[in-house]
Amino acid sequence: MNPLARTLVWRGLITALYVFLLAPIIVVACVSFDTRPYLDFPPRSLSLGSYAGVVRNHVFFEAMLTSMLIGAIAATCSVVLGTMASFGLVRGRFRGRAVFAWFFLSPMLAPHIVLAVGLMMTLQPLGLLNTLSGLVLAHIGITLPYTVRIVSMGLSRIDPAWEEAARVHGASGGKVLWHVTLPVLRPNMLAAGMIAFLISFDEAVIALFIAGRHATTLPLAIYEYIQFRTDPQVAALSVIVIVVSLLPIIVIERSISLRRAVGS
Amino acid sequence: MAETIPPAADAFLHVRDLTKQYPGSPRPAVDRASFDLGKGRMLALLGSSGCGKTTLLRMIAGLVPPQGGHVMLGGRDMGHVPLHQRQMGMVFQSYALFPHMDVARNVGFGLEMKGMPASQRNAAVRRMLELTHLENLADRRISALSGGQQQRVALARALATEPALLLLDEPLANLDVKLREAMRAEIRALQKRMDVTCLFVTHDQDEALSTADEIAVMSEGVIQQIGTPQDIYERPANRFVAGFIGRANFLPALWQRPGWAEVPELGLLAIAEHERWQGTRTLMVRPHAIRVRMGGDMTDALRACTGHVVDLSYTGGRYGCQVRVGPYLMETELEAGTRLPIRGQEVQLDWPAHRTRVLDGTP
Repeated sequence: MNPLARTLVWRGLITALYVFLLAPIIVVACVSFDTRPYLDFPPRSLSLGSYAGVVRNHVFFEAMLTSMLIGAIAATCSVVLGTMASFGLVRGRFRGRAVFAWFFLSPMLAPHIVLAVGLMMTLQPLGLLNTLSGLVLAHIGITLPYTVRIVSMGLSRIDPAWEEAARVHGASGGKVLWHVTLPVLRPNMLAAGMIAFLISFDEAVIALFIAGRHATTLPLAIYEYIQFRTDPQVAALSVIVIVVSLLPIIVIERSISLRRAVGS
Repeated sequence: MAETIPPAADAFLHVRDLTKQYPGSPRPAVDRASFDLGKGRMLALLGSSGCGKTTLLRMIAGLVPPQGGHVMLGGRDMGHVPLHQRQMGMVFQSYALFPHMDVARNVGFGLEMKGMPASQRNAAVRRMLELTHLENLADRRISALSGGQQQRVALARALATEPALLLLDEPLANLDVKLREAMRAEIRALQKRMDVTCLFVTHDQDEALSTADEIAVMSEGVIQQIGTPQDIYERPANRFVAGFIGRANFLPALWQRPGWAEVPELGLLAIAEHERWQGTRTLMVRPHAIRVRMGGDMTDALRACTGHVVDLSYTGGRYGCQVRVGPYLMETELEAGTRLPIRGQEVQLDWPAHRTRVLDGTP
């Protein structure tokens, strides 16, 4: 095969791969502009009517606010706890450190459906079922593996000489933490927070089990909506969710790069 | 040196019996290190890697807790002074500059920690940046600096607080040769100008000999000798120091009579030593103290050893000449431009008695 043909085949393959990955999103985006009251592709005529419908739909609007609130609180708590855990796991010299490391990663290993059943049985006697607090606690649990991992990675890259230099040049233990260690970790903490927010914002299975009328998140609202109706409003909402999710991803890429945040 | 010696009258830094043994290590990393250093003077801790020089420096800084001994700085016992209140400045081997701050904030870090108001601090930082020729780089990020520039920033940060003691841990090890020599002179000039007492860890004997007021040679955790560069070079205290600093010839020597030693298979040699010793000791002669003569001029025949040239190599400005004398291979030096022997030629070697030195132990 000559080089030109090989390049063409290669480019064709890559294009096919991207089309395959992006096709659902493209279809959803197209459908969201349709004027007909049911989901069909391709759309006949285009308008922004579905978007107006979403904004006017107070169920969606409140669910969106709930999701953002839960995501923000869960992400903040997860970063604080994850940072503290990272100090212990990276710096600590104690027996059973490996066991603790596995403990913090365990929520990532169990299927969400299993966690959901367990959480339901745990939160019910505490009176936290169908509450915002219960959902926040659950989301802190499932996001901790990610925040611990991302902050630990940053912590293990800190040159011990930075902290030594700070101490020699007059910084007490607390000032070293405040002026050197935490600022150096800031990009990792920011990325960890964004990942945690995304996971929480996107989470449906656990919310389905432990959240009721008082804590309807956006994925739940969408799920409930499409059980009874299938119109382009759902598609419009999906596009909004995608756009909202892009923002944290850009922040992560800017702070520590996506590959480092989610890969090895 | 079992008993504790009181500090010298003019000692500013006073170190006594500092000892550190890391867990799981068969011997101490530093074993009862003691020395005194006058105000404004520069001491080089010289030794090969693993000799304990960095551990000694870190104990004085307070970064490593000693198991025994004490440090006094300006008459104050440092034993109970927390590390951040010791008023020291330190340049780390990796420079350890804060990556999230620009050059000016790095330099001003110590003053910021002291709580100096920003306006005063800015003036002090600007002065330090001028002294280290960094004025134009004040708002650069650390990652945008070359190795030599980082070195200057580290030095400026260490000196900005006008510390009582400046500690340098192999500060020039990561620079190339030309830059290293320039920085060496610059560090020395700055240290004198600010009149700061300085401790300098290095494995490079040229650096120690050319820069420091005093040198402490360390080996296996023990300070082998402390003295001026001339002392260390001309009058080494033992076989280790003599071999570590510069090049030297070592011959086995037996006591003959005052002023004379017998070297097996070579005969009698004049020495500067007049006290009797037992058994075999080591006679040291530096290569540049040896005169190499060609042809039959055999006056002073008693002291002259006759040998054959084995090798001749140019070392820049001079030649290194190896001569086999009996069972011994002697290193000598010849100025470039003088008449040179050829390989295999017979030559006579001699040297003045006062340039020899008798050391403990066999060669």
